[in-house]
Amino acid sequence: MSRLLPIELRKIRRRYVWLLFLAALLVIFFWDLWAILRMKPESKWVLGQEYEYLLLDMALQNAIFLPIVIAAAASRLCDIELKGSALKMLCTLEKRIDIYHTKLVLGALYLLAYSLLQTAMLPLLVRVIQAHLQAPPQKMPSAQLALFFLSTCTVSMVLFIIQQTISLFSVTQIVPLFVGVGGSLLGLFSGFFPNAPFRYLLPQGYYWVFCTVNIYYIPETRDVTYYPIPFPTAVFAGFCAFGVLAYIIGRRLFMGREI
Amino acid sequence: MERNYVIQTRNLTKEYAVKKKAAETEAGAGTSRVVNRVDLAVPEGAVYGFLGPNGAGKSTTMKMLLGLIKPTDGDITILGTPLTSSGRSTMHERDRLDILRQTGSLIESPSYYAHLTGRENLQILCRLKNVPESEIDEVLALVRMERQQNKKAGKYSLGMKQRLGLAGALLGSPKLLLLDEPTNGLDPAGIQEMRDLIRTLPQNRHMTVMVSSHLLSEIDQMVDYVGVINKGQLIYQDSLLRLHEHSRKELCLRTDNNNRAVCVLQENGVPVQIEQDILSFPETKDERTVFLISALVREGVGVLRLWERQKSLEDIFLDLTGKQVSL
Amino acid sequence: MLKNCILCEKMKLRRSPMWIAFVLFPVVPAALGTGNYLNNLALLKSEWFSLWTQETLFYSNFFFAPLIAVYCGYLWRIENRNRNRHLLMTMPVPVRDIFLGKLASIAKITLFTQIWVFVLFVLTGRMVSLSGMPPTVILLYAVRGTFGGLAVAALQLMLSMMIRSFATPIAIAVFGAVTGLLASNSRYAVCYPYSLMMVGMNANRSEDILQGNTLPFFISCAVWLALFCAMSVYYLKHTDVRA
Repeated sequence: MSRLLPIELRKIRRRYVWLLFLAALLVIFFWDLWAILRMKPESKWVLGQEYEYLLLDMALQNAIFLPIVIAAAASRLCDIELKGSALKMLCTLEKRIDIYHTKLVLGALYLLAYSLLQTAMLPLLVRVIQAHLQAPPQKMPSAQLALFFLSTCTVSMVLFIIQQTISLFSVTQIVPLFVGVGGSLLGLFSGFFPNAPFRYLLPQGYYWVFCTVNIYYIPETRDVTYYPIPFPTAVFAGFCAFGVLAYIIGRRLFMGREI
Repeated sequence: MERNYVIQTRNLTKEYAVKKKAAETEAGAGTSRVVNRVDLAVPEGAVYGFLGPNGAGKSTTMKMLLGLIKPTDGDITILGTPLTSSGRSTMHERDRLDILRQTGSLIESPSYYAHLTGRENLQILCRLKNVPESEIDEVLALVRMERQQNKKAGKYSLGMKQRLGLAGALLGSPKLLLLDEPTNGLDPAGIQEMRDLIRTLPQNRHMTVMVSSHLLSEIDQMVDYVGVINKGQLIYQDSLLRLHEHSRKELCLRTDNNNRAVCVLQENGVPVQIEQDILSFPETKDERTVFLISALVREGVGVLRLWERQKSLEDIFLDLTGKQVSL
Repeated sequence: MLKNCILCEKMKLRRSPMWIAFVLFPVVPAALGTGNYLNNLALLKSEWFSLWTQETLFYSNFFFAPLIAVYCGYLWRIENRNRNRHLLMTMPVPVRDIFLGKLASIAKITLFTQIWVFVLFVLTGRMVSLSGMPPTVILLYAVRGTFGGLAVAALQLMLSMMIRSFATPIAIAVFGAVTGLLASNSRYAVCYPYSLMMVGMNANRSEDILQGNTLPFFISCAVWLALFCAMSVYYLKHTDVRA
């Protein structure tokens, strides 16, 4: 792997895969910044729950952006092999399993960097809110941030495994990108039905499931309160098991593929 | 005899901007000249062979003839219509279409829609060329692929794709056919078939054919005219016959003491080469030949045979381009 | 020649089951929008109008641009593979018609998707026992949305032609859709191509966002459409063709 990863990095030169993730981060950053700067001084509801507000917001944003960004990234990483029919050459040079793994590791690195930067963005944006509304500082909820980082990474990685498997099979790359677009849409919808079992059916929906904040909206006063909910550890374990299963199936499919 | 030229170019040049690092190694900073002041002249009704090693600028030139890429400088006139001229920055759409209507082409490797059958691919071309679909059977027969026409083009072998590409180029009986390495991927029998087909096109279908290749032997058997391009420059252009005539003859010699003979000839300033027991040197005047032979005899070298040999095309090519080209 | 170009685009799409996605995907926002409508009957009291906002909000915000982007990407991808750009550009067909042929193909699918969304809207409306037929003004929203969608389609077709990558223009469409949502709340909504669909569909409010003032909207659609077409044709004419 230590030998193959630099090769893989060399292969994706000028493919600018990192740009996709960076663009997603920037859009999220400016979206939140825009929302914050529009807050009126009397928006007292957000005070004292700046972190909760942003955690829920980012779960929504991840559910919108990441499925399609991950689909596009996986497609660009796998496409290089299919475009020049390099896969048949590659399979004579490397162990097939290594090809599959190298791409996964690369994807994992991108996702790690993305999640880390996004988590780091949270305290920064909280400062902006506090400066904007002249609010007292709030204690950083480290455990919640850690869980946010962990769940973003995990859900994204499982999505990446699925997308990579589809992409490696699709000559036209149509199917994986439709799955990505559809996934973004469904992931978004699942967030609006918090009590429907629907959100548990799709991996995209788990950005919501693992969000440790819930929202309570009082229509009469138009007030919003956030309240913490316990991290669903059992569901998380189940989801990880699903991820491992997706990996095993994807690997088997790729190993059994005729080239 | 006055001949009409189907393709004429003057000063045709194409430069590409290159990144700084690459440019430092070359003389002209910032650009690299892929095609350098090429003056092509392809006579009507001829099969014109466009020869050159890989990367010499063949494809770039042919793409400029088709308007696919825009020349940096120079004029192109095809079938009497100016495609570009240095006074105008771009080509006229009407002229371009006029030319394309009378031109069939196969550039680099063949183009095809992989998810469509061979026949469906040709149907699309018929529509775009405004040609009745009845022509499809005719061109399919010409390239001998009637039986595979309903298979998906993506499943074809490289040779079949090449034939499909040629069939597409022949649709609409163009006056001019531009074929870039058409024998790529064909087996020997296929190459022979393709050659025979191309050779008959001027007479049977009144076409002019320009065909590029990096293999001299391939062209030798089907073309009337040759242009040789190397490093972007056209270094030779004339009839194949003239190329053979132009080739300098050499004298070959067999002796009973080659080492001594080489010494004697070199003392007399003759650039002699030795290959498989045979000495060879450029043809000289008769008097000088007599002088050299008597010198050899004087030095005790027994001359067994002396004969004149025509240089092979490969050798000529090597002389012109300064490097081995056949792969 | 334009007619032939359009016919060719149709032939090239043979054996590409793209239409399945366009049939299936709108069902999702329709079903979920209906569910959301039923869950919030206390808040949503404008009957057909309320249902319309629920069903089209996400469809026209997050969904249409990436979907049409995939379609545009596919149309150019088949040309980018196997050096078909060479073939296409050596055909005796005006460059303009090549682009417009593809645009016509996209326009057709946009129209069908819009009709399908509207049919689903009527069906779900009847299912939740709304009375009669939807007001004609909602039909007008759908027509406006189609024009807005065309401008986005032309933009995506241009991007896919220039960028020569399948995934990147689709990612751009996603970012466009999100920024379009943000822009649609501002005064300049009609100036931003990615907002046009949303504004046209009147997707997120019950009162008409354009308030009957549709002329600037249609002018904006026409200007963007013309601009993207002109840029594309210029690009095709003046740049070297790479296979």
